Amino acid sequence: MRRSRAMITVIWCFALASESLGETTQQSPIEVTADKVSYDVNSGVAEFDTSVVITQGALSVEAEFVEVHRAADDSSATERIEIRDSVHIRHGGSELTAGRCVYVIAELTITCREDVEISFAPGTSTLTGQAVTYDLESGRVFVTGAPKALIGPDAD
Amino acid sequence: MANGRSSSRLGIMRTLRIAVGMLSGVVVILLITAPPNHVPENFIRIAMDSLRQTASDKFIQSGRFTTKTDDGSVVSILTGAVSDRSKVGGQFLTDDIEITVDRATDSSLRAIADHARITPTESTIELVGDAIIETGDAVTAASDRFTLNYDDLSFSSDSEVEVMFPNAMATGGCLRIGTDRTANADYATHSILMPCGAKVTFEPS
Repeated sequence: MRRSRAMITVIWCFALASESLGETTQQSPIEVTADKVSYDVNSGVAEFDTSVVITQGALSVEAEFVEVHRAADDSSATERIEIRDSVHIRHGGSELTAGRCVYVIAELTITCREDVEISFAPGTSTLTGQAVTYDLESGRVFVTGAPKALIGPDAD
Repeated sequence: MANGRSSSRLGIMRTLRIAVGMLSGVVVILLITAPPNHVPENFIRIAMDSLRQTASDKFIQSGRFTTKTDDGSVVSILTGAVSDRSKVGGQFLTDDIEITVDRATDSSLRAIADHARITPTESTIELVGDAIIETGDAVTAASDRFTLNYDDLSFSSDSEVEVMFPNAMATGGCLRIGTDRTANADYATHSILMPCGAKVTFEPS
């Protein structure tokens, strides 16, 4: 019973128009700032260390460490961004905190693990789970592993 | 009898002419097929710790220097005029410097600048003016000054820098481009470090 509960997948469809989530598309430039940046020419991996801030359209991400990976088949394309250590994501009124996340650019999805908590608007709803996938385009949230939802004005 | 000797001599002479002709042909063929000698006059294999003084000496003489280091990298430095008149405080000032570092692993670095300051007693060359560094991987860094350190073949800048990547542009307060000096390394050949804060903008592909 506990096991099946843990495997429950909650699909939280937030009824917000994509306009209200802000414009974050695959074509939006991604700006990353950090105290230290290093780039390995051979692997194409850029590492951002300490006070990292990522912005892309309405998306804003803060963390302590970020790796930007290029696609294996195309050295000039940014494939995914691995974010870890005190991750704080804001997008279209939603806020998400987690231990680590992976942002897949082509899919416009961010999958987070480790103490994930997502709140939608101040005082409304909060979701927690072992893993949360946030779709930037549709605003849908997929929660897997011991999902828990607090709905209402006292959710905070 | 005399006719016999004469014809014998003629035969020997004819044989000799043919042999000399064939030999000349072989020499010509050998000269044509021999690989061209690309090795410059001052191309010597030296250890990294010898590079500093050798480079300085060659600069003073001709403003041109090429060598192969102990890890197989070929370092070439070409400058404009370097003369005693430009010697200020133990430094030599040059115009139009170009430095290339070709690694055995087919990676490369190229730096060009308007001017350079060379101090024979130090293991660095300072590039000043409009300075640009290009890696063989289409990464270009620009600043108003860079320093080449002979000891580890690294370029660094403590000034504002702008770096262009194939899909991104970065700005930062300082920069270091390091060369992996492990012989026959098949992994990272260059690393770019911006430790003074940086902003990188990735453009969609």
